[in-house]
Amino acid sequence: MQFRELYLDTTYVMPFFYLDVDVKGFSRARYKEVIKSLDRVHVSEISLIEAKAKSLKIGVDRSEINERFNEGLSVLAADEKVVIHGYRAVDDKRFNEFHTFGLGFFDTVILAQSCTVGILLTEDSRFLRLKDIGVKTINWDALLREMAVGNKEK
Amino acid sequence: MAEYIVKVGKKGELYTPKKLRLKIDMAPGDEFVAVVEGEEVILRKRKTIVNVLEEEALATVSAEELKEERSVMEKELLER
Repeated sequence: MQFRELYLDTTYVMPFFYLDVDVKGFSRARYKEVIKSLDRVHVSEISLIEAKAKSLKIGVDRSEINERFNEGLSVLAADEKVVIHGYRAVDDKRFNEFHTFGLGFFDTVILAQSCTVGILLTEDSRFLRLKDIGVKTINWDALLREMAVGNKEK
Repeated sequence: MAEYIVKVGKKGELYTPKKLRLKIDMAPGDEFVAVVEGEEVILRKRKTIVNVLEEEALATVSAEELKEERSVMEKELLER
């Protein structure tokens, strides 16, 4: 399957701030190829704030982390491929619908926002267990498998 | 530091020497940001998210830690 757009959970926003994630099989090079193949990349404003909070807890050169974070933020904001989602009325309606799933507050916001895209890349098992909710949730491993199948079918 | 002569065309186009194009890996469609500081003009390659991923990461974070971070932030927000 070929994906034209993806909604990224915070885990997959971190690499744009020069912070990699410990997901099995993940590499910047592979991620770059995935991102390159997409027409649109969607992220939540919440993920940007979460990424900032996480970046403050990293015990390496603080000024470099801050500088790179700031650079990543301006690249994300300026790249035409990227859509940064704020919280809109349509998201709020879905939030109310999904609130009963027992997810966390931010989880529910991100899930609600990702419905407009229809596919969410995440490693969160609570998301990955959800079915028939108007958004397909997929992890890195499944994404690579599906993309490989899509490439063979081309 | 290397210096290059860039000529200006009739309509304001900037003509870059091949040596410069090769050195900075300039390709058609690339965009630059011109930063003006007094009499100096610095051209900075405008990065995309793909360019960012071509560079090395400073550190690695765990997906589990991110999950925990989310819980902490939620707690802070909801207890306000």
